[in-house]
Amino acid sequence: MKGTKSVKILLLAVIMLVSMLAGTVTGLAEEKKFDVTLNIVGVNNVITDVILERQDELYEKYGIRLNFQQFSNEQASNKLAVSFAAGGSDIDAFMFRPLDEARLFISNGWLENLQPYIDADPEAALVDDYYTASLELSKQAGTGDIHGLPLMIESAVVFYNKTLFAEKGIENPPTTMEEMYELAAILNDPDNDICGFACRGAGNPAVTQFSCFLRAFGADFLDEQGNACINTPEAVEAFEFYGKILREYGPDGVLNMGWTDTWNLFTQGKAAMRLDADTNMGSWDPDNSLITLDEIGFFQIPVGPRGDHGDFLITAWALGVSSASQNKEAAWTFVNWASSPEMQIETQKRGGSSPRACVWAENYSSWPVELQAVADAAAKVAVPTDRPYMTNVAKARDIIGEVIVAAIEGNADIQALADQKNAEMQALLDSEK
Amino acid sequence: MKKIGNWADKNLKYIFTVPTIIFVLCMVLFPILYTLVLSFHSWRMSVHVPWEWVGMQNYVQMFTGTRFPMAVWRTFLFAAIALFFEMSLGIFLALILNRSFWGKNMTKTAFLLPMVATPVAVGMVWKLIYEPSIGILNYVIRSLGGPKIDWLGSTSNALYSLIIVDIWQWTPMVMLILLAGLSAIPTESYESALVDGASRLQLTTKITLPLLRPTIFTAVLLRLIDVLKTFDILYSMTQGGPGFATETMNILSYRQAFEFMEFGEASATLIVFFLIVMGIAALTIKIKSRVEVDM
Repeated sequence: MKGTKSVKILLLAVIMLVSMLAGTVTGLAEEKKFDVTLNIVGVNNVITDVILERQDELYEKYGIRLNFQQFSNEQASNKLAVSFAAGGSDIDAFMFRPLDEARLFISNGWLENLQPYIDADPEAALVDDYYTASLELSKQAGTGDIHGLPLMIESAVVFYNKTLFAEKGIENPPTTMEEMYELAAILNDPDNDICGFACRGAGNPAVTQFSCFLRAFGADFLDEQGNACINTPEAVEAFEFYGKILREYGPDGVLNMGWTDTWNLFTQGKAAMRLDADTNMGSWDPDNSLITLDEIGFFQIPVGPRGDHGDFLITAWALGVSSASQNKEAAWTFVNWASSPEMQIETQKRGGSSPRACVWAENYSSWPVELQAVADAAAKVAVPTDRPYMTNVAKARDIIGEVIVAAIEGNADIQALADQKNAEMQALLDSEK
Repeated sequence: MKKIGNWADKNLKYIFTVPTIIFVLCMVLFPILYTLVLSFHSWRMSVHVPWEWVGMQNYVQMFTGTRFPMAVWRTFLFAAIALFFEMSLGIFLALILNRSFWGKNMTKTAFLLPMVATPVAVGMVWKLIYEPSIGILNYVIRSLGGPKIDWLGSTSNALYSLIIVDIWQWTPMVMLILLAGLSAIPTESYESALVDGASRLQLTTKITLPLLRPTIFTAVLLRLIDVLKTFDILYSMTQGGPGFATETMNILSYRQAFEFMEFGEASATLIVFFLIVMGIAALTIKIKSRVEVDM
């Protein structure tokens, strides 16, 4: 009898132990939806920093680990091209530049259509919270299906060195292009290696910043029918102005310069004015700068001769799921997590610029108040593109860049060259139809 | 067992050559044929989008535009100038270093240093040297009262600035090949010439250089093929810019493929480039064999 009792107690103990273990396992399974490592291709920016720092949180919540590969912008495109040539299953999610790559990647079939995922759980993605224009560029032409969630928006702004302005007795920043040219002349000081105005001069990268001048002079890359129009009198005037200000008051070696080069010049106190993206503030590093944050002023893109604005507000980066991924559900969960308001707030605090309205509703930005005010004013008059929106943007940028380089060098007949390049761009547009 | 041995003996020539043939077929012939077929198609490197047959369109576009002919011209200009200076300086340095003097080995090692450096690192260092405001080159020139030169930022200077880097890096290789050739020249020829009263200059022009001719041609051939396919220095320093001022055929085809995603056009560029390089190599080999026969 005693033996039977012992057996009963033992059995009870075993049953309790098993049920406890089972409970734990079930609990784990409920807590972590996946147990997977995702391969992500991204670029080196503030969003990536935040994702990498908080990846443990992603694992705790969903059981997703990240194998995050960081590249420069162009290298990331190359990596994607090579992977997708072999099927693309080695990538689960990737960052892309909607203006440059959305059309190409969608038509190549690289981006998974996210619309069914969003429709299945509209609350999760909070797509209504995005600025409309920011989401527009990640949609498929025709169907309007979303293929990527925006991560960062940006506008152009002119950064200026307040100390250099004060030394020359200049009190107010310019409001027109002509005034900016005149100030550049005053501020230019080649004996001390200080240039009056710095902006991108390398043909292909310069196109986006040149768009500010093109629009301010009343021209555009494409007309309303979507045809090339970079040879109108207004466009030629813009090319010549951009060329003149950089040739006469730009930095030495400007023809090879991209945004990092002009940013370095500016932060080393070697450029009095510098036009580029406001999100460059995310790269501000006081330890490696010869000027202080208080010395940096900001002004909106000056208007052109007929009062036109040249500001843009574009979606610089978006995150999409690879159409060949073996873990699409997990990849979608990652994309959703990385673009969530919580992550966007963290990015905003570090100098990012969120496409979500809820992030801007509160004052999370680490940007100087002056920059926030300029960005806000620019947003009111901005257009949603800073380059011709088409499939082969890279080739179109090369074509336009050739005119920019010639204008800076100042030896060519810009009207004749613009006519020739306009025809080339039209041929490219026709080939995409 | 004996049977297998007999079979192996009989087919020894195939057993030794078949692996090489398979390797060449897989790694050389297949990529070339693949590129050739691709050059008649339009493809954006996506397995989800099929190839589209476009016939000769890629070739027609290549020759009707200005970008390709200019890239061909720059490729040859780069190759011709670089090769001329690398050979002249290489011969000169080899002749000097072939003599005995104190510190000869150390000098030889110092000359070889540029050659062993990674080309991309070389590119980055030279980019700093050429920097117009803070670069050491302009600093020296300006200290001597010279003008500020825009080495890489001017469309008229950039290609020549890159040629200088190529010459700096690859002259030592030419020197090394020629030094090996010099050591193979029999000393008897010099001894008999000295007995006949030949001067130092005569020894160089009448004995050394003629006997060195086959080695010179080998060096020319090796460097020619190498200089035509230069990519790393160009890409790391200017990426073909400013504008298209340093865009050679290699840079153009790279950009067509990996930036414009036009793999058909890039393949057509590479096929034409391949034919040109093959033609030049064949011509050089023919000249070389004629030179060797003359000896």
